[in-house]
Amino acid sequence: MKTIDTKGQLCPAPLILAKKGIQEAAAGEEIEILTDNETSFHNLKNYLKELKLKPTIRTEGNVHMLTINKTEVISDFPSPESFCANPTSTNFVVAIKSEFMGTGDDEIGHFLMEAFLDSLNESDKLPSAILLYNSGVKIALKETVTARSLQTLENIGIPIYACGKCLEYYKIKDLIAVGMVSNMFAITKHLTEAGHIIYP
Amino acid sequence: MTSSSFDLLSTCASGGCSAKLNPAALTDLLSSIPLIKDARIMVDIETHDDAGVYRLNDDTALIVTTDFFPPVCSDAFTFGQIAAANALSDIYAMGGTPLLSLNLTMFPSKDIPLEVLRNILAGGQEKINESGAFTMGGHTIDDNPPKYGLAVVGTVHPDKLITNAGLKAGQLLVLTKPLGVGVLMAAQRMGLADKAAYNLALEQMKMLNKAGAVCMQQFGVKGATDVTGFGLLGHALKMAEASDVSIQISLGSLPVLPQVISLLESGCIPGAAFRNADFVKKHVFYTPTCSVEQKMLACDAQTSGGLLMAVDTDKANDLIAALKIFHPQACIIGEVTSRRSKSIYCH
Repeated sequence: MKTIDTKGQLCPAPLILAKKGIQEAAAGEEIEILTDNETSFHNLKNYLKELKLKPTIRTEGNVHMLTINKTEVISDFPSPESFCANPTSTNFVVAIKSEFMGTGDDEIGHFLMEAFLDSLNESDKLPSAILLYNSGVKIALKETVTARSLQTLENIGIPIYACGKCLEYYKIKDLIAVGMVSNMFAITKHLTEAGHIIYP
Repeated sequence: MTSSSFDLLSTCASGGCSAKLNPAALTDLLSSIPLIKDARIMVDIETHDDAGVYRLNDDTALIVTTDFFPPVCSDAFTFGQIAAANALSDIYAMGGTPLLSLNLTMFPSKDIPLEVLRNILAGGQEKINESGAFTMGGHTIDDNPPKYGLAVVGTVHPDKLITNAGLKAGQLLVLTKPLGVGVLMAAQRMGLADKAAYNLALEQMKMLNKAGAVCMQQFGVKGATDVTGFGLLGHALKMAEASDVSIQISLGSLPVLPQVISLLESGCIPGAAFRNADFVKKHVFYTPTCSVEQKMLACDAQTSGGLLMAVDTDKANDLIAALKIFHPQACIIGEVTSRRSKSIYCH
């Protein structure tokens, strides 16, 4: 067990000591970080959470102890890019290229799209991004059932990228309710870096 | 100890805009104190703008603002320059020209040689002179640690007023100065800052937002603010809410001072950045690709930071070219969209 004692120190010193200690610790090693400052304690908790580490917390008197295990650290803080760049990973994106699901009557196509987004919300496998282009951007329009489903997905952290050119072409830029206005560069990047792509 | 070697940073634990009171607590407390309305008041506290604005007549509106804080650096003259540039900035952020200023000073005369006070005021006066404003006096209290800043009156044509509420969907967002001042000041206190990087931060804090204000008027900017203690996201949030729009920011394109990213990676994140991150959390969507360092940079408290402005897309390139003469790192960092469920989207 490695102990990082930051008692008596103010931010950002405890964070610097914690980060250094975590990097230096051997794989599988338990790391305990001590602080007696409430603000530092709060910031350390937030910082470790951002680093995707889940500390166990104990408090004795005015000393807080945050314990983490180095095995929780996946290959020493992979960058978000390295996650996306890994083609063998199970990450997938949903690319919606039309406001209708499948080919056939528009009414059933529209209904199917609503049903697809509902199912996606219920699914235990969630996409790393949802891309909307061509008439697909119309499913993000205000006061639609599909926009409400997309909002639920965004609320749990899934980024939604709507093609800006398409919004301009259909003259609906001011009418979309959910997602970010994006461009072909970003959309292409997501398509090329996805483990696989779902076209509903 | 001689006055020239006196280290002002030895007088306080946290400096600059980091010394601001918790914004949530302040908003809560102020809500219980109603203010009297007047038809001539063009901007009051309600939209959380940079300064108050009062229409005198059809040609002139007065802009009033104040800002002061404890030392942000060791050298007295430099501290004076930075504090004055920071206080004057609120006038520029509203598109105005500084006219009159008053010195607001707190100084422990028994603990620090009076020569240090002279140097603080001389540094401030240099910046007031550069702005073209006139010093009309001031007020000094014997108090520890020292604090310095200005109350400033500026003018603007009522039709040329620039506010937090002037953003329009479809516009592009431009930031004039690089971020990371708060990180470098924290690193300096811990002896971790590179001399060159820290000096750049000081130079940038001393720089008036005067040229930025001139450029804004030249290119018809109607919505802007200066980035200070609440960080880029805190100030962007206020603009989005006042303008009833959402803002998209590309965290990867934020201009940044040297060494700041590696300092953030090593855990050198000032407490104020966490406070700001907490404050904006409910209103911000971060895509999973945003790194902790990028988020913290966007929440880093700036002292005398740059102008954040929204410009029509067809004028953006010319505006950037004009700004770059004075602010080489000025660039487009995002765009304004119609209102969504979140005020800010970071990607």
